[in-house]
This record gives sequence, C-alpha cells and structure tokens, in this order.
Amino acid sequence: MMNATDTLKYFKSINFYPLIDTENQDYFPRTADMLQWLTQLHSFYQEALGINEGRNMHSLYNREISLQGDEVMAFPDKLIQVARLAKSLGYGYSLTLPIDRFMAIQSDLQPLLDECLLSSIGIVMDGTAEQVQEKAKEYTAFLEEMASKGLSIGLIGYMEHIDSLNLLEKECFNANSFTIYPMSQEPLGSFTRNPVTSCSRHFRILVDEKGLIYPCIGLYGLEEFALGSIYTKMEDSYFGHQQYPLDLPALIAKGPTIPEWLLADQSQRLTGMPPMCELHRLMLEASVCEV
Amino acid sequence: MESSTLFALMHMPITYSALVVENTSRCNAKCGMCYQSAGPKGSDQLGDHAIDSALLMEVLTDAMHIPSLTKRFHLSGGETFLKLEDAILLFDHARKVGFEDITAVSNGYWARNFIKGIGTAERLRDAGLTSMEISWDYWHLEHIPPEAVNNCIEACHHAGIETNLRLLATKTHSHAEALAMLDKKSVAKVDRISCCPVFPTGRASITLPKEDIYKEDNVYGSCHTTLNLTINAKGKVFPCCAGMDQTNNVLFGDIAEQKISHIAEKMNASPMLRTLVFYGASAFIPILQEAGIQLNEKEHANVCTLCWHLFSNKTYSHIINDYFDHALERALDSLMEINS
Repeated sequence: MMNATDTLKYFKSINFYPLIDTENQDYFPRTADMLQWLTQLHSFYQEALGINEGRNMHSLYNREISLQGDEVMAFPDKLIQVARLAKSLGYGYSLTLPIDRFMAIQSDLQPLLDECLLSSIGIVMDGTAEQVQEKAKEYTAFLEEMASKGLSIGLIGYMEHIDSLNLLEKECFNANSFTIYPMSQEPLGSFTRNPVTSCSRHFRILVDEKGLIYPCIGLYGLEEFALGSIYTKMEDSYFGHQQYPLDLPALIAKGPTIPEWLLADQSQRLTGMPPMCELHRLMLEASVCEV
Repeated sequence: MESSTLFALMHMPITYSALVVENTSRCNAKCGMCYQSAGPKGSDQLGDHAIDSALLMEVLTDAMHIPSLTKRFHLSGGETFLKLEDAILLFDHARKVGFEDITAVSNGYWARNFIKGIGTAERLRDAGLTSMEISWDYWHLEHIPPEAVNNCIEACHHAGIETNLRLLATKTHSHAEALAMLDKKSVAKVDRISCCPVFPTGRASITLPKEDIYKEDNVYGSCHTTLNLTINAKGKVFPCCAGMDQTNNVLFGDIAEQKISHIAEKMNASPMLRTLVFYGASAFIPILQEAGIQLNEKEHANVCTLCWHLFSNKTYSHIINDYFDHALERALDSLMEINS
C-alpha cells in the first residue's frame, strides 16, 4: 500500500512560477530560498526513497527543474545559480520562453550553454502571422542556431508559422531530433472518458510566488490543496505524512473520480489542461469532490 | 575512467522508460527505412514471428514486479493493429494490472475508412489506450495513403487519445515533404510531432544510400537514460527498441522460457550489458581491436547504429560475449600477479 512518502517518486519535475521583483533584482520566492529548498528536497527525496541505502536508485532518472514565465531571464545571474544547483543534484534544467524573449537574451543564454546547464529548451512561437513574417529572417537564423547546438528542442507554435519559415526543410532540423507541439485556434473539443486516468503522468511539484507547493497544474493556485511550502521542512509537508485533503495514492492508481453528470455537463473543454485535470479542478472548486 | 560513470556501472540499476512489446513482425507495409525490416511476410532479418497474447498477458502481470520499469506499456509490431482484437485484449489487461500509461505505434492504415476508424479509436480508448504514435514519412507513402493518416489523427482526437506523429528524414526526403502530404487541419490536431533522422539500421541500411543519411558524428555516448525493456516478435528480450532488438546474436532471455522479471534481473547483473548501457557501444571497440578487428567508428551515424552494427555481426557478438564470459578468469589471473 503506497503511503505519502512513496508518492515522492512520482514528483520528478519541479516547476517554479516566480514573480519578478525588479526593485530587489530577484524573484518571489527569493533565489536563496529556492536553492535552500531544492537542496532540502533532494536530501529528503534520497532519504525517503532509501536511495542513500542503495534502494530505488532508478528514481534518480528523468528529473528536471525549470523556472517558468516569460520574464524569467530578467535575472540571468540568479537563474544560472538554480541551473548549476540542478546539475549538481542530478536534475536536468529546462527553459521555455517566447522566441522574441529568447532572441533578446541570447548573450545571457551563452553561460548556460557553455556550462552545459540546459537539458532542453522550449521555444514558443505564438505571435500573429504578420509578426512572424516581419521577423522571418531573424526567427529562422535564431532557430537554426539553436538547432545546431545539439540541445533537445521543443517548438511550440502554429504549424502555419513553422511552415512559413520553411524550418522543416532546413538541414539543421532534419539532421537532429526535436519535437513540435502544434498550437491550434480550433476549439479544444469535448471531454471523453478514458479508463486510464492515472494522475502519475501529470504529477510534478509546482511552486508559486508565495512558495506554496502543489502536486500538479490542475491544483495549482488552490491553496487548500497545497502540499506544503518551501519555507517549512519537508517533514511538515504532505510528504512527511501531514494531513492532506486528497488521497494521492488513489489518484496515482486510478485518477480522480468524475461523476457522470459532470462529464455530461462539461461537454466542451475550456483550458489546455489534460481533460481529467480540468474536470477535477472544476469539482474541487465547487467542493463536490469525493477524493 | 570518469568516476561518475564507474559509480553508475557499479551501483545504478538498469532503468527502463517503458515495456515495449513487438507482438508481430508482420506489417501491411514494407517501407524502405524500416529498422525492423518488417513486411507482409514478416521481418527480412528475424523472420515471420508473432507472440501469443495469453503469454503476453502473463508478461504484463509479471512486469509490474520490475522496480526499475516505469509503468508504461507500449505495443508495437510490425504493424500491431493487423491483430486488432489482440491489441485490445492487451491494452485492457495492461490497464487492469496497473500500467499507468498505455501507448502504441501504428501506420494508421486501419483508419482509411473514417467511420470505421472512429469506431476502432473508441474501442482502443475504452480498452485503455492513452496515446497513439503514428508513423509517417516519404517511405510510408508507397504503402499507406495520406488520408488514412489524416483520418487516424482525427479519429484519435475525437476519441480523446493523444497523438504523436513520428516523422523520419534523410538528406533527400525532409520532414517538410512528409508533412506536406498530410491535411493541415488534421496535423494541427496532433498533440506533438516527433522528428528524427532515419537510423541506417534494418532495411534502411540496405535500401538507402549511405550518403543520404544524417550522421550525429558522435558514437561515444551512453544510452542508460533512454532504455526501454523490449520484447521482439520472437519473444527475446532486449534493453532497447532502437536496433539491438532486431539482432540475433545476443540472448538475455526468452519470455517463453523465463519470467520477464527474472530476465530483467539477469540483465541488470550482466557485466556486458552494464558496460554497454553505461559506457556505450564504443566501449567494445578496444575489445574488438584486441581480437584483430579494426572498426571505423566514424562510419556510424550514432551510438544506436554502432550498437546494431556490432550485435548484428555474429563474429563481433561472439568476441564481445566471450570477453565478458572470461572476465572472472582474467580477474583471477591479475589477482595471482598481484600476489606473486
């Protein structure tokens, strides 16, 4: 029977969603607090899963840290500290930004590349067709340069924009492996019931600007479902067997229990969240959830 | 020898991102770049094979006992949906025994008729399929009409199954060429598009000109972070589905003779396999050189093609296996040297 500490092995990704504090040239939460907590988390993770005794060492694979947000490179010297710590603790570090932002901070990117601190980058191209055409040359040059650096690249954008830049004819893109995540203006479609709705694929630790930690994007921002805080010990979080309103082992095993009436009622998806996450959040917001 | 790699070699378990089952070597297509060399009469390399679903269901149940296996089940072929009812049985069973992510790869032929495709996608979803990889590129075109792929994407989208369109390219045939053959509105509904260069293994090594293949110019990497516990259509078990699974010269285990959990345990303890995954296939080059075989590693596109090249060759495989089989003797010899 899985307990709270056992669920820790499903939380391999850590995403911070910091706010920018221009006055103090730092983030909310503070970089020092993020670094301290990451170090504490890593020790707790190793201890709790028995890694220090040689057990569950496979749980060290495929872990990643990121700071999310379009302005996250406002303090490159702070971000690089997080990336360096990530590498030293055996985590990958990923950076996702709009393409214009990437191009504006290219010089700040170089130290991250020189120290091999980036495991992957996500480049978002969500501008209008006119914007893309106006900057086609610069976008193409930038993307070709990124593709030639041997990084794992994710392109997030409209296929018509990617087509308009002829990227998929370029040698640098055909010679390397990369992934496109097509955006679409079309409606998201309706909910369907898939019998496999384990939350395990969606679990990750998300940290908001207040330092509250959440188990997934579906619950992000719902403070009553925070697992704890980066300002308190891990032992005082859900993972230290503190009280928590949801049964995470049950969510891992079978996902949220969505009543038929809600599935019928919410026929049209509204967000880009995984469908079950969207429904679960609706239920929790309306406080009708059983799990 | 880097201490981190040595530590990994000594202590890390061989870790797998999925259990991959290739339940048939038959495919209704016979694509020029196919690493499995699959076709209507089976694989050109492995022959005509299929695995009984009852046996696979036992394997799925036992696989849950492998601690270093992520609970993802991936069904492949050949073209696995040539046996649709078997696929549905396996997805349903995988779901029941606790796999958290159930995926498959297909060329989408079964969706050529759109209405039938929707019906099939709904059945697959109800059995537990969470994600479908759809293979498409210039070489598929000869065998699979683009409308089947378009319909497959639409059917999966309608059924709530995530889709991953998998494209392969060479210098002559780009991803742009492949995508241009598909309907733009359908492509926009795909959840992701995974783009890779063709690996010159299997049929690709014979039918595609060498100069047309992109090379990574790096055969010195390791692969321990990208492994999948793979059962090929002959029932033999391998640590990956990137080429070694299509070879005949190394045997880790056969699911007809042993439980998959025992095979995985044996693989984890294999010095040869541990050297392969933590040091990479290039670690075997000095062993072969000592046996008088000179290899030009620059000839190979990447670590996977080097590995496939080594283990497709009976002589090379024998030399490598023999080296590790006699490792204990060499260790005892050196012990005597130290003592004397």
